[in-house]
Parts: sequence; structure tokens; C-alpha cells
Amino acid sequence: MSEILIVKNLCKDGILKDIGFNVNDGEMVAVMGPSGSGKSTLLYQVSGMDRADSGEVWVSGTEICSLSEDERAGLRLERMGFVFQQMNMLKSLNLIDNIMLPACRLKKGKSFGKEVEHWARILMRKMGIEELAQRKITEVSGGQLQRACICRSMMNQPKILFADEPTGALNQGAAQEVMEEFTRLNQEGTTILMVTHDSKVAASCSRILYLLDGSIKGELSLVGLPEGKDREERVNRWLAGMGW
Amino acid sequence: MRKRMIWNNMKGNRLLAVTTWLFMAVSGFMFALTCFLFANLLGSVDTLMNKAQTPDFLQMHAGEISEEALVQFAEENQNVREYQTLCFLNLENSAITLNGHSLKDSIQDNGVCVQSGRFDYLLDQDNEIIRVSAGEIYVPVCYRQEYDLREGEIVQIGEESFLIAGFLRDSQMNSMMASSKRFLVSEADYDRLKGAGSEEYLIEFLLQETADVNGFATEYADAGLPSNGPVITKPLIRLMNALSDGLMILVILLVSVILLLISMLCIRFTLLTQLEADRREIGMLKAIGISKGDIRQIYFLKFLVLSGLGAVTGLLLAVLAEGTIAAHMRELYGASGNRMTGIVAAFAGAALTEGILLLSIRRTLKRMEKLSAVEALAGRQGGGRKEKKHIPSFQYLIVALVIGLGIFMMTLPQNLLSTISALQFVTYMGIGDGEIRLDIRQTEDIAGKTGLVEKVLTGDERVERSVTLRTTSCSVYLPDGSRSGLQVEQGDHTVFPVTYAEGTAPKEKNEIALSCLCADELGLSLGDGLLLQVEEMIQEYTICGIYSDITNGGKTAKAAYLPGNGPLMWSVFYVSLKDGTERESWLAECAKTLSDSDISVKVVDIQEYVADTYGQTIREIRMAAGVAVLAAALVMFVVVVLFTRLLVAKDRYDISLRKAIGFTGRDIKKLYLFRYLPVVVTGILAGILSGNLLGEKLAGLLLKMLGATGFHFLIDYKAVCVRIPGIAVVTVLCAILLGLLEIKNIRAYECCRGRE
Repeated sequence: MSEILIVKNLCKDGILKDIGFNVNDGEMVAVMGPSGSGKSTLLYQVSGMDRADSGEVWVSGTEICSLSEDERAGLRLERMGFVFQQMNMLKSLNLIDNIMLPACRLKKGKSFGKEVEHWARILMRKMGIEELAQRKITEVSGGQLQRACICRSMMNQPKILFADEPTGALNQGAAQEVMEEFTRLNQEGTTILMVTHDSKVAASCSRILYLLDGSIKGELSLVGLPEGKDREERVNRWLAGMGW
Repeated sequence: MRKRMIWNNMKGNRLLAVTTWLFMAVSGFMFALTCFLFANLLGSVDTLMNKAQTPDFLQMHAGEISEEALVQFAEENQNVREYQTLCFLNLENSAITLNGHSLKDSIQDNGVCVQSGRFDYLLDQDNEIIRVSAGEIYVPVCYRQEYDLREGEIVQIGEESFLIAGFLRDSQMNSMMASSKRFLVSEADYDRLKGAGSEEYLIEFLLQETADVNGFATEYADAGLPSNGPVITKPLIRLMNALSDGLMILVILLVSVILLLISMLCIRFTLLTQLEADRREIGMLKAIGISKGDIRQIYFLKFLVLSGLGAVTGLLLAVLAEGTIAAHMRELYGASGNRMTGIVAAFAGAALTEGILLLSIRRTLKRMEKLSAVEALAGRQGGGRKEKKHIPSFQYLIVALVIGLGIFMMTLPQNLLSTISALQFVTYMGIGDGEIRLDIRQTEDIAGKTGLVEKVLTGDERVERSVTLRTTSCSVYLPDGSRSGLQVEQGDHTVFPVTYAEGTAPKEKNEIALSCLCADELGLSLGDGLLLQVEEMIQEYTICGIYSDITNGGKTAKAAYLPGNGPLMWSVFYVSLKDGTERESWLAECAKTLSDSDISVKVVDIQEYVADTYGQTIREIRMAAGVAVLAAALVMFVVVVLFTRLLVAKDRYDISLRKAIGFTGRDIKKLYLFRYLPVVVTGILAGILSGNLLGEKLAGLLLKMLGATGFHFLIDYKAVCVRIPGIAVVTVLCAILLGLLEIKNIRAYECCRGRE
């Protein structure tokens, strides 16, 4: 299996200390750790939103630390998708326009509008929110909005999807639904790197990285373990062992 | 999608969008109007001068002329394209009555003439050459409004009555600043009127396009041709024509520049406020990979649309307003040759304004690039923390600046108005600082009559001071050996001095002061030397002063002493009366005494002279000053309302908290009013100071373009220190109270939800 994300000796502002790990194509990896351990900072560095002080980050064969800000922005648009805890969307656009937004920059031409909208609607249908397409973002629930964010992150069919506490602002039911969508996307072949506090969410991933004081202190592979309570308990035991 | 984004963004931020549009529209309107008026004024004056075929060189002359010598000179001089001598019958003003209004108090030299044969035509209201029939008269168009005249009414000249057949445009003497006015009658009527006045000549030349007018003037003087009167050249005629309306347009231009500055400040602030509010959205866009350029474009497009709307609104308003504002201009000079040129100029003005605003917006948007996606998403402020912390104080600073600029905008035209309306203003135009002026011109034995008048004045106990200034035509030799003609006014120039741009009045025997126009033309400056020849006598002089002068063709000189006794061209007396002397009765008595002694003297009350000569300009500047006060008050009002509302929106949590702990709405309003107090006071003080100091420099630059140099404001302190600050305080107070109305809609429980 090829490696889609390679991180070597990554350091940032003393928050991240010599971090190294790989993510394989098709994996769904959770990054866990207590508050202040550097989870979000790690996500920002590996996705190119921020530039590391030292180290290397390779995303589908491209080293991104040496790229300019604009080049990194272009790479994020083409090869990466993002889902945030706060469902940041533009207030001036309705749901479907927000979803289509990343595609506007990439796809231009006469048939652009129809093509993009068609694809956005397919994604919305898969997420069960197609009927909300014309709604304002203030007219939908948190869960629906997060599913719309997932649609937006998939608009350019990214190689890897980064999620930062995607269920952190949702109630239990909505969080469950959103996680089901992530799992489905992963099963369809999308690689996902997710920062989470929630062991239940982490349990649905194939691997967990445990971050403490800016270093990876442990790694748990969940490949081959059956879904369900046993898997969650296995994760909780491991986390307890890590001092969680 | 972009369209929807822009539209929804505008809908979501209506107040900001409307304010931005308003600023863009007002700025666009003012610049479009300025360009429109300038283009029309220049176009109208040029069209009139082209159609009338204004002479390039005009020598006024009182006395006999030798037509043959003039014809010979014209034929031999290669610069001359056309030549003609016109007669102008100078009439006693008291002999002219326009539909019952006597011109006896007019300071103009009024007279009649016939239509020219070759060029310098008098034109009707359609700018066509007038053909006048016997018994009819055409009246200078500037008198139509002044005396409310209509066609078919009667003009009485002595015993003769004439029917007003229409109103004429005189490309030379249209402006009230030109001292003569020509009425047009038929040749037969002219011959009949000849005995009623003194005839003088207008010796006119049309020159080749390549000819140098100043060089030609020297050649004319060298030829010893008739020169008992001022020389006027085409550029001076154009300047006189453009002067009165031009000044109003320059005031509008100044106001436009200030408005543009205010617009830039306010748009920048509203944009920064919006960027601050949108920082999370901007962070998200950056995070998902939208480039800085694309994000900037999203914002920029909205402003592009608003500026387009602003430009169109401004342009439409300018086209509408131009009709009213330029009505006087059109009446005086006729329509501009091509209205499209005016519209294109207006479009260019509006486009330039919007371009400047968009450039400033683009520059402000660059600040957004500093915001990193991580900072925005993580809720950190990074470099923006400093900015956010400073926004309220920055906001107060903007309000102070806008108030300051508003006061400046009100003060500058007001100061210009009070300066031009003041009696002393004439000293910037080459006229002495006296109360009354007497002129002896275009008459025989000027020297003898001057002596008689001098005697009358010195013998009059009611006269406090008087001075006699005698003007002689001299030749000046420059250091490079060239020679030029010069009218030198000799006498004591320290009694009623003009204002000197540089140096002082001539006191010593070898001192001479030159008019700016003259110094420029001769290439001389303070301290330079020149040789002056009167008849056969030559004397060396040093230039001791330079002053501005628009009288007598603008090329004059002043000396305390002249070598030899050349023939006098004219004499001028300045008089001031003792306290308690009834000026009007003295004027009437003096005119009668001199008239009884058969001395033809023009006696002018300088206050009336100012009102007559600059009346139109003063009226227009008063209008411009009024518009400036209204515009400044409106801008201050809008800006303060907007900023107060933004302030209240920003402080919503704090206000709610104050209410929760027991403050009343009134208490909170007082707090804001207290905060605004130093801002308003600073703004007003800064505005008054800059309006008087910087404004004086700016106005000086404007007036220098129009011929008045060394300019100082004559301030109307009541207006500047009481009226204008009063208007500003009331406007700002109303605006603050309106902006604070939102406080009553903020509930005490809102703070319990936490900060948003």
C-alpha cells in the first residue's frame, strides 16, 4: 500500500517535537491526545496551512514545506479536503454554493456551473441533505451543516481529507451520523486524518496516533478488529494505558 | 456564484453597502461636476472667442490716430493676419437708462459701437453675428440678469430711445471684471449719438498662429503707433472670461478633494471592520486552498460593483446639477461647442475618483493577506490582535479626522468668500487700499485736469488722505539689450498701497515695482535692474517690489519718480474720508463739482467697485460655500451615525452587561457622549486651524492661477469661530444621538449568552 502522507522530523514552535509518521492510501487515522498536546498544530502543519520550523511533509509525492504559500494553497485545493469543528461557511452563500466553492477555483469553462452543481448534488444526496441545497446556512442544523462541510471537502475529490474535531460541536446523534459518513467515505477509498478527543470516533478509524507534549507517544492499529463495543473498549484500555 | 456572493453580501451588510455607495457616489459626483464645469467653461469661452474671432492684440487709444500708419504697419508686419480699427463711443453712465434703471452708479465704462466688419464680432444668444437695425440696440448680456431686462424694453441714451432687440455676447468685455461694456447700435444711430460721448479707438490685430504676442507688442510700441490706453492680449481676455466662474469651479474642486479624502478614510474603515468580522470565513477560505488573490477578488468585486453604481449615480447627478450651476456660464458665454466633451470629461472625472477609491481599497485588502488560516481557525488573533485592540481608538481618530476635514471644507470657501468680499481684496488685484477712486482717462489735457482735481481734493476738509498716481507710457531696456513698452504709474505708492507678493512699494528715486505678469514676461525678479526711458530721458531702476494686477491689461509698473515728463495716459486718485463724512453725499458732491468744472472724471466708491466687479464671483463662491457647508454637514452626519452604530454593535456585550448591572440607557448614552467630547473638540480645532492656515496656502495657489499673488485670508471670525463650529456641533450631536438609538434595543440578558 502506498504512503499518501509522510511526515519526517517535524518541529514547530516547541509545540511539535521531531514528529514522524506515515499515512497509507485508504487509511483512516485518528490523532488523539490531551488538550495542548499539539494535535491541531500537527494538522495545520501536515496540511500546509502553516509552515513547520523544520522537517519534511510529503503529500502524495510532493514535499510541501518548501512550497510557497500560494503553491501550498493550490495543493490544498487540489489534493486535500478539510472539515473543521466550527462549521465555517460563508454567510453570504446558500448551502449548495458553499459546497461548490472549492470547485469554482479549479474548474472553469462553459459547462463548469452545471458540472459542478451536478457533482455537488450527488455528494449532498449521498449525505442525505440534497433537499437543503438552497437553504441559508443559518436555516439548517449543526449535523446537516457538518455534512455539508464534508460535501464541500469532497468537491475536488481530494487524495486526503483532514478533519479537526469534526464532531466536537455536535450532539450525540448528529455526531454518530457524521462519523458514519466519514466511515463510508473511507470505505469508498478516501484517506482520512482526523484529530479527535472522542474515543468512540477514534474507534471507527483504522489506526490511532497518541500525541503528548508534541511527540507521538504511542500508536494503535485497529485493523482486523471487529466493529462494536469490543473495539471501543480496546481503544479505551489503550488510551488509559497512555495516561488518557 | 460570484454575483450571488456579492449580492448576498450587500444585502447582509446593507448599512455598510449603502454608506460605501453613498461615499463613492458623492465623490464621483463632485469630481464629475468639476470636470464637467471646467470642460464646459473652457469649451464655452473657446467657442465664443472662436465665433467672435477675438483679436490677439488690442490697443485701446484715446485721441487722434493715423489710419495710414497703422495700415502700413499691418501690411509690413508678417505676424499680422488681419487688422482693423473700431470706434467705441464712451458715454456718461448717467446718460444711459436701461428700462428705467439708470447706470449712473455703474463703475463700468459703458458705450456704444457698431458691428465689426472683419473680426471681433458681437454675437447674439445663439452665438451668431448680430445685424442690428436702426432704432434697435443690443445690450451686454451681463446686464440682462442684473437689471432684469427683456427684449422689447427701452434703453434711453441721452435724448435717444432704443428698443432692446436682444442681448449680446462680447468675447472681450463679457466678464464683469472687464472694465468696459459695449452696446451695439446701427451705424446711423451711432453717427447720431457721436456728440453724446467721447470716441476712442480699439486698434485690433489678428496674428498668425505662430506669432509671439509679446514680441508683437514690442514691435507695435517700437513703431510709435497710437498707444494712449491699455494693451490687452487674447490670453488675458481668456483669463478674464474664465475668472469669475473658474474660481467657483476651483472651490468645488477643493471640496471634491476633501470629500475624496473623507471617502477614502471611511471606506477603509468600513472595510477593515468587515474584514475583522469575516476573519473566520477568510481563514476557512484560505484553509481550503482558495488563494489570497481569489479571496481579495471576492471582496474587491463587491467594491467594484459599488464603485460602478457610485460612478453612474455621480455622473447622473453631475449632469443634472450642471444644468443649474452652469446656467450663468451658459448665459454669458453660450453653450460649449460640444456637450459630449463635457460629458466625457465628467465621465473621466467620475472614473478617476472611483479608480483612486478602488486603489485605496485594494491596498487595504492587502492587509487581509497577513491573516493566516491557522490564526483565524484557531481563533487566535496573531498580528490582528493589535489591530482589533486598536479599532475603537482608530474609529474615534477617523471621526475626529472627518470632523476636521468637514470643518476645513466649510472654512475654506467661507474664508475665500470673506476675503473676496472684503474691501482690501482689491489690493491683490492692483488697486490701492483707498475708499474712493477717481479716474481721468480718454480725455484731452489729462495733465491739466489732474492738477485741478488734485487741488479740489487737497482743498476739501473732509478728505483725510489722498494720492495722485499718474500713468505714463515708457520704454524699458532689459539687461540683454532688448526693449519693451511699459505703463508706469508714478506717485506716492505708500499712501494707499496694493498688496506686494514680494518686496515693498517704491519709495526711492531709483526704485520700481512690477506687476507679476510684467515681471514674468520681462524675466525680471526682485533686486534686478532695468533702464527706463521717458521721452529722451533714461534712468536706471532696481526692482523693489512685485504685485499682482489685473487692471489695464495686467502689465504695469509703479515708481515714486519718473525721469522727464512724458504724456500722461491716465491719472488715478485714491481718497479716504474723515470719520463722520457721509460718503454717498461726498461722492455726489465731488462728481458734481468736477462736472461743473468740465472735468470728466469717473468717481468710484471702491466698495461698489468690489460689488460690481466681483459681484458674480462673490455670488458664485457664496453658492459654493453654501454647498460646501451642506455637503460637509451631510458627510459628518452620515459618518458619525455610521461609526456610532458600528461602535454600539461592537460594544453590544459591554452595553448589555452595563444594563444587567443596573445602568440605564441614558447613563450609557452619556458615557458615549463623554467619550465623543474630546474627539469633536479636537476635530473642530484641527479643522479651524487647517482651514485657516493650510487653506490659506491652498487658496493662495488657486488665486495665483487667477492673477492674485501673496494672498492672505481676510477672516470673518464670527463665521469661522462661531457659525461653522456651531453647525458642526449640532450636526455631530444629532448624528451621535441617532447612532446611539440602538442602545435601547440591547437587552440586559444578552450578556448572559457570552461574547459572540
